[in-house]
Amino acid sequence: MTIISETPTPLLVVDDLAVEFATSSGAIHAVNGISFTVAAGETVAIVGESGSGKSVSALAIMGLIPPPGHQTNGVVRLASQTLTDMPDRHYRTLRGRNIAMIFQDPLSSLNPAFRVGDQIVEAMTTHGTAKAEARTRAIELMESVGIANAPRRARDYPHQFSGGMRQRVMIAMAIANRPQLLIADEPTTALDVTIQAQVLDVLQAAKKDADAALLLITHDLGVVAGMADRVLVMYAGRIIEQGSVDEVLINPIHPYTRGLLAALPSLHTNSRAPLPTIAGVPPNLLSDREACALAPRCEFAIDVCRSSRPLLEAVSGNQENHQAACFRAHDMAVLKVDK
Amino acid sequence: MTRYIGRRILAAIPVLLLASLLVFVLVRQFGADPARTRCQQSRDLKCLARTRVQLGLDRPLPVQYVDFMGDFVQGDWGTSERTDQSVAESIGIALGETAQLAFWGVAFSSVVAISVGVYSANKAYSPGDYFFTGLAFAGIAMPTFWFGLICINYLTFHLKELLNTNEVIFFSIPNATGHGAINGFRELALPVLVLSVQLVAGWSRYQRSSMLDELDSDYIRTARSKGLTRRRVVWKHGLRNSLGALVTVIAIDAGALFGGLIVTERVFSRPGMGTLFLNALGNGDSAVLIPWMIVTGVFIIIFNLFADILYGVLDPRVRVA
Repeated sequence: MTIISETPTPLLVVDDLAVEFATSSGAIHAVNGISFTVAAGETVAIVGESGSGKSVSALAIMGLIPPPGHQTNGVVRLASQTLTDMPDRHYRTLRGRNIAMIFQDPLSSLNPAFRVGDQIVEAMTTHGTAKAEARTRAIELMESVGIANAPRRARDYPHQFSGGMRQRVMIAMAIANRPQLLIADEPTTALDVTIQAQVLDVLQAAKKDADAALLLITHDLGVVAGMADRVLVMYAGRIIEQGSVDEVLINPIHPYTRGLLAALPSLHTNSRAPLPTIAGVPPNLLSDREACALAPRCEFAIDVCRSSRPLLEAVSGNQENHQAACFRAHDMAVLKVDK
Repeated sequence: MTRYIGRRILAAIPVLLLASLLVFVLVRQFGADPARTRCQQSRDLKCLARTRVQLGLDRPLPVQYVDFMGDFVQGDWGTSERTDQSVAESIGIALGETAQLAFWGVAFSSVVAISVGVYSANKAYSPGDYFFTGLAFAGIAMPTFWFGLICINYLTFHLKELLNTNEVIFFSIPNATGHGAINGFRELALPVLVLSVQLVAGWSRYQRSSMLDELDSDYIRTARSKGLTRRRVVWKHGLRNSLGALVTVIAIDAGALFGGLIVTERVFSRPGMGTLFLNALGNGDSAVLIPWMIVTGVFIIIFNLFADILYGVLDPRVRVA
């Protein structure tokens, strides 16, 4: 199940990745064999609701799956190096240098006991940059992400910054070593709505500045539309639809993607009518049944949906890169989205 | 910071006044009669009456308290009812003895407790962690007097036989012959060990749980994502944040040690604050008891303040502008 990408050698290749969490009531299948690629300089978004396996996939790429989780299958490759099963002392030299990550909550993700400047400096010195050089660059980085008065602010602690400013610090820290791949895990979810757009602009600029590819994890389809080239929709640990942003957002095939889009309020929505929601709850990830995970919640479900699992296949009549995992993909393609 | 400390010291004054009032009233009202103690428990009414007037015991209690505090704050702490020794002097000597034991006990115990706690948290639920957990529970459960005697028995007498020398390696009582660092070590080793077993047992559990909390936090993940080694993440990022809780406990415990080493000092016959208290209590010597209690109260307050200051040093979020 490898995806043909526009560029011959993708920067990041994730092939059949599976992650399980061992719990007292059994293994939780957080990620169930996902495959995708990210080309150099490309922005790929992963969308899905909480618990769909987005963040765990990102942490698996970083090699930082928290215990009791572990990667049970699949391979992750960055450029020509295989990251899966790489010894930590080697993996470590890639973290922060070749792949860097921006986390959701910038307050808890920055160490409260150290000055922000020192935390940015540390990201560089740990990969061999001289301290004095790292200090100068840290100030430049802070200026580049729009922190005014950077030389003085570098001496402040995280709690002395506002939420948006903290996330700028995180972005500065992530691009410090000009990584090839930047992973941003819901970078604006914890921020005020008014700040979100600014931080996304900073992220976009930082990505360009570092000449990095961006793997953007979000549940905000508005962010996807504004930032990404391609989008992967995840549900219950699997990719259920993927394609270029235009394709997926304008002609969604999978009932789940359609549900996500329908749940999005717009200016034209009747503000008195309740927002459409996807009925039911996400499946229990303890059991990985041979069925479409959405079937119990899906109004289009037929018998085959409940007895076998659909594979990710190209959507006929559309561009070859648009794929969906749905037995009724053909019917859905005909059934236009009512706008 | 200076203003904050100044304010805290000022705030301590009413607390101490209240404590001293309580101590004074309770000891004078319900303790042994100082006049009788001075008259060697005799029933000589003349002696009793004379001493009462001499000590001012014939005056109302509030007047006695004000009089006592007036002298106390000026450094005139009176003399023992038993030995006529200066109370200030005996408390000074006892404090010096106890401070030595408390200092080395706290210094040694903090280093060991932090190391053990960080190790246990880092390797949580490993055999090593379970081993230290078991050891900690044994340490908490073990009575000081019993462990003290075991130490004396094995580390002085049996060790001497084992090494087949005439000289004891560790002294079980303060040794008057000779001074210097080596003798000091031989004299303090056993009481410090006994004290440390108790302190390390409790403190290492504190450090383990606060470190476990910190290791779970997001900034640890960030530090790892920057490419730091696990060792550096734990000992730099985690330790700094986890120390706040332990430092508070250490400071409060350390303050309490100045009055609370009664059993350890007794077992090792050390003339410290605990021994002074026991003797004063046994002799019904209220002239020693009252200043003793006020002094130990002062230490608890000082060390509490110390804990707050250290907490601010470790965590910039609670630093006072």
